[in-house]
Amino acid sequence: MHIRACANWSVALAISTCHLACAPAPEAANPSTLVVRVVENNVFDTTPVRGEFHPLNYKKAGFTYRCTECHFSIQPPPRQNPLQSEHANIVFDHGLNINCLNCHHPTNRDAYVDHEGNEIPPSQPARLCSKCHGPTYRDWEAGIHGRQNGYWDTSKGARTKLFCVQCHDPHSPKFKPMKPLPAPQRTRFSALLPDHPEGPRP
Amino acid sequence: MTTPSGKKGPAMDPTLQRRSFLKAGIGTMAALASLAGVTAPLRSLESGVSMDAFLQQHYKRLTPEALDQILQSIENEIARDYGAKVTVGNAKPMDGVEFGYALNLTRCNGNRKCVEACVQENNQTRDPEMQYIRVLEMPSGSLDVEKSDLYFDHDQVPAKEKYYLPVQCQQCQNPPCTKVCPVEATWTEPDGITVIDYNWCIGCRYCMAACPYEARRFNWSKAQIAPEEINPNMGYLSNRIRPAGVVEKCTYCLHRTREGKYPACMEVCPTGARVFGNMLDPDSEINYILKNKRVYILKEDAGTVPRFFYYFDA
Repeated sequence: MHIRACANWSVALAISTCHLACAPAPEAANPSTLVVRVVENNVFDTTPVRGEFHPLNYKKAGFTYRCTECHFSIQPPPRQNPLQSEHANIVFDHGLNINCLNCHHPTNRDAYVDHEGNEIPPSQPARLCSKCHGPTYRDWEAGIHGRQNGYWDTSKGARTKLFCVQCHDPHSPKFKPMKPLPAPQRTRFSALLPDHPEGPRP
Repeated sequence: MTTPSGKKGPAMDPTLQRRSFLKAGIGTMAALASLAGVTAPLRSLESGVSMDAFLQQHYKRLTPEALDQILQSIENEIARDYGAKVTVGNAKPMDGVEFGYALNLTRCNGNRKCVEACVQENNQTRDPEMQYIRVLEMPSGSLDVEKSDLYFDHDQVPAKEKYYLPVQCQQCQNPPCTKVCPVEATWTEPDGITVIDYNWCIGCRYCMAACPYEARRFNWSKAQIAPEEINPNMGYLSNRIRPAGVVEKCTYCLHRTREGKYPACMEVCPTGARVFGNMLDPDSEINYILKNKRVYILKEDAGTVPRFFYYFDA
């Protein structure tokens, strides 16, 4: 009880000294220096950078086509540069992997192809990527490559996992640069940063 | 003495009586004034600190009924001061759980989404601005944080020849911050989270000086948050709106993680650089990283033994 009373008095003293200590940093109370927050308000949007996963198909003028609707007879050359016709908008930048049919099945264009020439269903794109990116696939399987959402404790709720193509464009897989959110405007001691770029370091 | 007794006693002398009366009066006045002076901080307390909170026991000595009463009074105060209906819970550590965090520095691109999610999730004051996570821009090929830049401002990240090192509370196994607290207002919970009883903290800021990671922040004034930006899911030891004059810090979002969820910074990371989990579970992702990746910790020579691990990946 006695200790508690002491602690309470030290609270009072600390608060009174705090008021003194606060005196040199009056920016907080001065409305003319209020910091305007420029931050997107959808920061909790957990949609991955390339959106939801959709199966292998082609969309044009509001219609969705299966690939085999065109490719039932057309047999393109193994590689074509620049890409033509319906594929002209594809930005192709996948390193040494420059042949369409390295990934797309040569006869059934609605599927991918594995090393043996067998079909990989379009619902399992990670199996296709694992043909070359073994270590990354191993990490993805273990749950440490690519973000997971939901519950770490799966006894309390579900955990969602992203597919490769929800972050990486399969034709240009390097993760794209993005705009960062604004820099902090104060040091960790709450002092405003002066305008000059050599301002105080934290 | 030869003074005859009874005739010239002090009680009989009107001059002496007046003098003693004046003395006593002045003494009383002085005592009252000094009492008023001493209790001045009490009367000018910011509205963030109620008399209930001021007189309450230490968190560890609270009875469940007293704690419920305090949680209720905090909810009422936030409703009164901020116009927001919130619930303040008190999630307990789970058995067999010790939290660990890993961050893949090859993936992190410095977009600062984690910083903003943390601010919104944890009800940090918007003015003066406060952020728990500091994303340091580091020169490639160096681990020297002295050469880092916290205030980088690019149109696009990652910048050439740079990598990014987000630093937040490392939830040390040997934390220097809790040892220096003169009132034991901060301690490490069984699940590894170092917490602060914001109602017990006296604001001396010793812990801020002791922390080698600069992870702690001080509330210089009453927190300013717009009612629509307040996160109503609050915890007593984590993200309730803190009163002025206390220190606060990252708690791995314990109001979320103790309910089995991921922390907010991990949920929003667009690069998937963050991995969180239970280090005591041999099948957890964090355990996979500790077993299979070459992790390192910040300022190993400080002897703090963090529960926050960094690694690079091919």
